[in-house]
Amino acid sequence: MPTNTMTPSAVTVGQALKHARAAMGLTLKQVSKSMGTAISTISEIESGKRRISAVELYRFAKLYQRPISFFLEESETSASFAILMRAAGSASVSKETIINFHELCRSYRDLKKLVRAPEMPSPPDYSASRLTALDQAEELAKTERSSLGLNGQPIKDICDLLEGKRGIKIFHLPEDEGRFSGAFTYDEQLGACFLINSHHPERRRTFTVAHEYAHCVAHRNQLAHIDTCPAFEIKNPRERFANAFAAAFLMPRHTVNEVLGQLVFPQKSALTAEVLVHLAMYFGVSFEAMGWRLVSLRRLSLSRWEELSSQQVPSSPTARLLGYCKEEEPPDTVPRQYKYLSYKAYEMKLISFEKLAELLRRNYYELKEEFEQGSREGNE
Amino acid sequence: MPPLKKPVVLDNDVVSRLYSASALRRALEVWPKLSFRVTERVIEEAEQWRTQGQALLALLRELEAEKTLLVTCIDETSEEEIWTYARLQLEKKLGRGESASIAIACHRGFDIATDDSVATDICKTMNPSVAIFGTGALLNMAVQEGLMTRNEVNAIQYKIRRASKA
Repeated sequence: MPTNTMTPSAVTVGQALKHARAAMGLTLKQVSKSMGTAISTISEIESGKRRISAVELYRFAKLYQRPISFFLEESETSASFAILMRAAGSASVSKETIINFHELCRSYRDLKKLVRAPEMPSPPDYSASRLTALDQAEELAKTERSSLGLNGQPIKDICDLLEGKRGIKIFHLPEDEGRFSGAFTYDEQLGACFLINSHHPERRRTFTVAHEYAHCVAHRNQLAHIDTCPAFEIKNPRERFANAFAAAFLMPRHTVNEVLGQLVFPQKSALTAEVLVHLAMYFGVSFEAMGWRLVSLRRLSLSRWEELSSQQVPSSPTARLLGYCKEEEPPDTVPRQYKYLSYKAYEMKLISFEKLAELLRRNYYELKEEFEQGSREGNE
Repeated sequence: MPPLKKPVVLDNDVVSRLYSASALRRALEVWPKLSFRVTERVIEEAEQWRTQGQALLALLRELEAEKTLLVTCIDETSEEEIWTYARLQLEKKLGRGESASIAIACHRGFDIATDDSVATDICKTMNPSVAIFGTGALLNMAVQEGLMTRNEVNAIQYKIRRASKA
């Protein structure tokens, strides 16, 4: 290694390589075969007994799908992401997506350092209370809503809310829509980070964010968790707790009752599909989430809900008329504050335009076109 | 020093500006063969550009076939080139394409064409012997060498200014 200013110790590089290999689920033998290097050599590199050459490091970086700089930074190993990587091997999300998610979280941290952004607030941690009962979920959601100053109103943009007031980094990446809904991690250095499946519709994503928030505040000691589909009918107590929290957080009991009172008349008449669609739109949630919430609040019988849910209401002409089925743009990969920090870094001439495009996960030329278009409109 | 004595690595910025003025081919083909290099990253970005990427890619491939430019990448057998690339990536200020361009220029004795001030400053610090010039300077050198007329270059620069009026 020719430059002393940037070279970390052989131990640091070795540890990072060892963690990256474990995260990929590769054995020494498999790596040895891929690299054409003896097992003993890889073992010596990983234990820091042998200094790695740049050529070797470049090849390791390719094999482990990480940027070369990843292995040169101190303390880049993260227990929470190691959990996600292990789970990804057998679960519903690809390792590639988790690596991408980790890189985005690291970029967020680096951006904050680069522009010297003020510290963000952290979400509260109730994991010591071992909350699992559904009434505790309802109560915790109420406490959180109150602490966020929401009173009874619906949440307009849950990502903005949790990023701005709780410092949670929420990224959207595409994954198989039938298998993966979201994941959360908590890491001392990176803070609370959520990954949400961008292939899901907006209302579904809103519920997933609230669900991950439940894990983040109530099950933080888990460090990381992956949520698979389906979302509602599940037996695991923690998942049921997270669903109950999400429902209460997004659709507070008092407001649901209040709005229902305005929509259902005369009183005690049967709850119709139109009312459900209207409510779902009011709270920004899916028809399904709204239906289950009304069942849990005993405002809708299970049999009536089963009847309604079998009617394909969300794609009915009434739902279209009410605007439920609007075409949606896919969500941005990165959150708003991350975008702002990236632009700020570019404006302060701390990063190049190409780096800006990379941070925003945008194509260089398309971003350039957008900037030029914006400049032209500004000048006209 | 006479201009373009060494091969020049073009970054995305220069390729983008010349292309926006429909002058990429003209600005490069007036120089002797193999005067220019672009990194694989430039090709990848062109490939992923949804609106005009295919046209740009086809042009870059044509220029490559004519040996007006060569597509290059980090030399996976060069310790020095890889460390320079890694060091630039560790700074987190440049994109992968720019980091590769600078590492390649520094270790193969090439020059660099970029309009990005951050890339320029970092390259100067990294290796003061690498000459760095922007799109305007590249075009002006062509006039000085009698390869293009002043009017032609003025027309290109006007188009570039119009495309990127900031």
